[in-house]
Amino acid sequence: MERRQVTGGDLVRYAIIFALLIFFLFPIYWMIATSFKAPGDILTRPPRWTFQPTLENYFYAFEQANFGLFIKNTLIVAVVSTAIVIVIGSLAAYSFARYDVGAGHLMFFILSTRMFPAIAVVIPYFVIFRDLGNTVIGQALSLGLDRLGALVVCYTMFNLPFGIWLMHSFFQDIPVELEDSARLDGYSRLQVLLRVVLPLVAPGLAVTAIFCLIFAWNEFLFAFMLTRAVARTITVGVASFWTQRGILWGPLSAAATVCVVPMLIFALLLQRYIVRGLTFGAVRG
Amino acid sequence: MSPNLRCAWLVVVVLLMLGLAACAPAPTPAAPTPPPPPEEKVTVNWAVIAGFYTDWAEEVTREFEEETGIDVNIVNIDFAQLYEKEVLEMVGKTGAYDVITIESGWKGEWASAGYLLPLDDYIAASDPAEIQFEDIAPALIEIANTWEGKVYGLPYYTYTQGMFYRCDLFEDEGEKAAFEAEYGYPLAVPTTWEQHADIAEFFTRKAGDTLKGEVLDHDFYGVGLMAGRFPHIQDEIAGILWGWGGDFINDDGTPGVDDEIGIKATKFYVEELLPHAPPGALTSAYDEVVAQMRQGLIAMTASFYLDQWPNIVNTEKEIPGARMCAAAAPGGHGYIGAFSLGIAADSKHPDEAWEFVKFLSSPEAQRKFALGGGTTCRMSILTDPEVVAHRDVAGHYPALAEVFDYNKDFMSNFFLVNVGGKIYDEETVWYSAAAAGEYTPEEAMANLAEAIERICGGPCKIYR
Amino acid sequence: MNDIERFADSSPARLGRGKKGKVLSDAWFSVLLITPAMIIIFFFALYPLFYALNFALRHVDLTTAVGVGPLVGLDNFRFALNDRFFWHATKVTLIFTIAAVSVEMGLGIGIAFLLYQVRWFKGVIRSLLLLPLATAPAATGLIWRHMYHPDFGVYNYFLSLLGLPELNWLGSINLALPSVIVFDIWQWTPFVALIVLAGLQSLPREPFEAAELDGASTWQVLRRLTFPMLSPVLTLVFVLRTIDALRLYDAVYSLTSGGPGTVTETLTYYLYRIGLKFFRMDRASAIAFLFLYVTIVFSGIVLRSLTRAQSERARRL
Repeated sequence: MERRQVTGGDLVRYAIIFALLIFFLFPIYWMIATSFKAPGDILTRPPRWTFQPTLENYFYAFEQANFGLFIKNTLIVAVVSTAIVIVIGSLAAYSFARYDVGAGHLMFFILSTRMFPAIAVVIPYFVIFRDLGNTVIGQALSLGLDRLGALVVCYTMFNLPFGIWLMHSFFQDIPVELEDSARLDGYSRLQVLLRVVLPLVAPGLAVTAIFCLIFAWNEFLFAFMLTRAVARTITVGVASFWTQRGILWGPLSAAATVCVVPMLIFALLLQRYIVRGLTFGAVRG
Repeated sequence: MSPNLRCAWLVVVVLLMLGLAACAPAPTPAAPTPPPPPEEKVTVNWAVIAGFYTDWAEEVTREFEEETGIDVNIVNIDFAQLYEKEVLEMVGKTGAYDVITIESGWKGEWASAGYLLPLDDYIAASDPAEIQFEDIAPALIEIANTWEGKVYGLPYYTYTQGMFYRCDLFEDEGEKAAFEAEYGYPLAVPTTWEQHADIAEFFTRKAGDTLKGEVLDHDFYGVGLMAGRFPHIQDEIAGILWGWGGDFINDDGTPGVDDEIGIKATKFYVEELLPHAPPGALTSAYDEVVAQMRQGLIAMTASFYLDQWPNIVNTEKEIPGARMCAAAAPGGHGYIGAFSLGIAADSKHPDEAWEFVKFLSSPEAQRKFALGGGTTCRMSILTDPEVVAHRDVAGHYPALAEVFDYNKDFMSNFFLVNVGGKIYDEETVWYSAAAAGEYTPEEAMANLAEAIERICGGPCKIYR
Repeated sequence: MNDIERFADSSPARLGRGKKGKVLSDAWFSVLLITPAMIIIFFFALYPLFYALNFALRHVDLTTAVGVGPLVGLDNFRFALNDRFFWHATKVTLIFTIAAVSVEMGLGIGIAFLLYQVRWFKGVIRSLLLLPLATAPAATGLIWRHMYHPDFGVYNYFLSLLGLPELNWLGSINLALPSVIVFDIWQWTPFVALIVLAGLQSLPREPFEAAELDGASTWQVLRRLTFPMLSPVLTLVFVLRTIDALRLYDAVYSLTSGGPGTVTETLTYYLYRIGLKFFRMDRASAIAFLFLYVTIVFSGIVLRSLTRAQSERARRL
């Protein structure tokens, strides 16, 4: 599939992409627009397209609802759990790809831990962390209820299977000849992994990291059930705009808008890797 | 795979399994509670509905902190999930929340499960002038606060229902004449549900028709309903059901929802009221109904939470010529109850928690609450001319006082079972199923009756 | 001895390492690599699972005096299988999953091919596509509820502009589930598209150049080369999406709360009510295990060929 000159086909393609982008981005636009609306401009018939923008909703979200804390919590939990998944998961994924430990059965078993409905394990997790929180280890590692460590564990749990499988598929694309020649050059197995394989697979790790971050960033159920106030995350904070006075659409949209920004920054930062990436498979031939 | 490899990972698996077996799940291991660390300042945690007059709560709480030196930590939880969050912490005996927000329907369940501390001793030991227990609306005390003769909470907020209507429409001479010509009796605040349905039908207009002599540029509806799958549709139907002498649960503990009156009430709601409501009704909670009113889409509500007055009165600012009024719902009934404050049985600071409960429900704090837009349960404030004069926040008080008076001897078996929270959840599902037409009213009520029986394990036990 | 070990034994690195000349075999090295992950999984995934299994075999009613009651064998499973609302929720879940995942796969693959052929703004488009994914369904579900609103929503406004009848998106029993599906498609199609695009970009060039020299048609290239070579990625995405779609919860919670009636009550939402509204963890756990069983069987079948191929590949090395 080589590149062609500018053709009618290109125009059609961009037209389709444009239409798709409208579908995918309009709700985001609507969310951002709502975040700048005064309460009286939100539930109207017909919807208002022009309005006097206000920052009121952002002030509300940050001053009244303490969103700064929630964002900080979520950042910590998402980044730490993603880091753990990438480090631990890449080792395991490499082992599965290169040595085929467990002949696929073990990998399948790992995936199956993601299949159990979260709701059925919320109460066990609740009890585990309640009891762990009262032990010395639990307190040292911040593993109790309403502690960030508990969420890190939960998010690591549900991202690990996904991460291992995705990274496994990237490791598989590394030609084994490369590793063999490195071994012959006197590298140890660990050095081969760290100095030869990991740099090659970095784009794949970046992709995995983005998705893990997003999943952790967006998780609701565990965050709701295992936190109270101190370790509350943004999704729970957003849900608390569903109030007795009705849904506070403005602050809710403001909070949701703010929540997207860090993910967008991550995506743009890692974009470089993805653009360059995933073409190494070509050498496999 | 080589035998060597297989052997290696098998060993690891077996080892891990053994380790796991050693810490096999023990049934509900009790939490080893460490002795509370010595601290100078006690913090009381209050689980409260999110966004629930937060400004008032924060102000009053600050005052309390200054006065007593006790810190209060307000934990906001959205109402839809407040029940499970509070129960989970209480089942887990974590003592995370000292002050518990109790919905009237949940009180029996939590009191009988031993989650709440009885407050009688605290009340007896306190200065009666501080509590003024007899000042609490008599209609509420049994419904919202007592269980098997003991007090488990003090009410601080009531959502008891009445109805709102656009009095400017009801008093318009042209509309009055047209109504009387069509229905044969004068247009007035409905006193029966049949009248209510007539009025709903009467005011339902198409774009291009006239309302108050002016041509409408959009469709207009007679009634706004909360028919979505939210814990409100059953409250609306409760007004009809109780008004007709029915109940969700019969005196013998069997479900009443599929009785003749039970089905008639559901049918009436679905067939007589719903056709005159905006299409949005099927996904509406109360805030959408308020929005419909403020956008000039509806003429009145059915049984509706009177505490929404400070929001719905804004219609007057947004629709030129509009005037809002509140009244008792037809038949005088409507869902009745309050949010009360109780103390968790596993609270580590019950005495401080009591101080806070007492403070929040005290006449002074409640007065501030009332002037800040809250709806109080204290009769002295509800009938205080000085407070009622503030129409923007207390315009509904006379109607509410009337409802309380009418209901002072009212009791539903729903408040006398110890599984109210669960039955309440099933009611939402099946009334919404009937409203949306997923099931016929008869089928939906049969399912609801089955669900209630399943929850109670047969006929429900009525605690009298 | 297979090739790996022969290679390992003869490797110069092996001979030169370790103070005492004692070195891990490849087998132990590979096990060492997976150990951290396995420890975490065994403790934090299996322990709760055993906990739930314990519940599933007992009479557990947490808000009553029963608490964690006696063992009752398979009663809870029997209850679940005889519960017609369980089957209703299963049906809803299956319809949702089949519809959502098939559209997401089709549309996602289409977008991936489109983007693959595009020359300008590729990075920008890719980042923008990530946006729906980067929003929490617990929050955007509410935003969509606002947009779907029959009286105040923007979608009905568009319909009225076009002169079409306005729809009751989330309130009609026929439209509610499709509306939730559209939301899911909105959120997850970019996920499929981006991963498939990554897979496309990593395909080797040579076979395609050879095919072109042979004068193969686009269709032939797609059928004989592209899709077979993409199949591991496609299978993986398909399985991941299916697993997550089956477990759909947040979106239902914020869009419809399972309503109207029980029209959008998925299995996990039903589970939520049983487990965390009624606190009957015995029944909830039993349903969860039935759910797990079916998911395992399904993904086992789908993944069997994939894992076998991967195993063979690894063995060939």
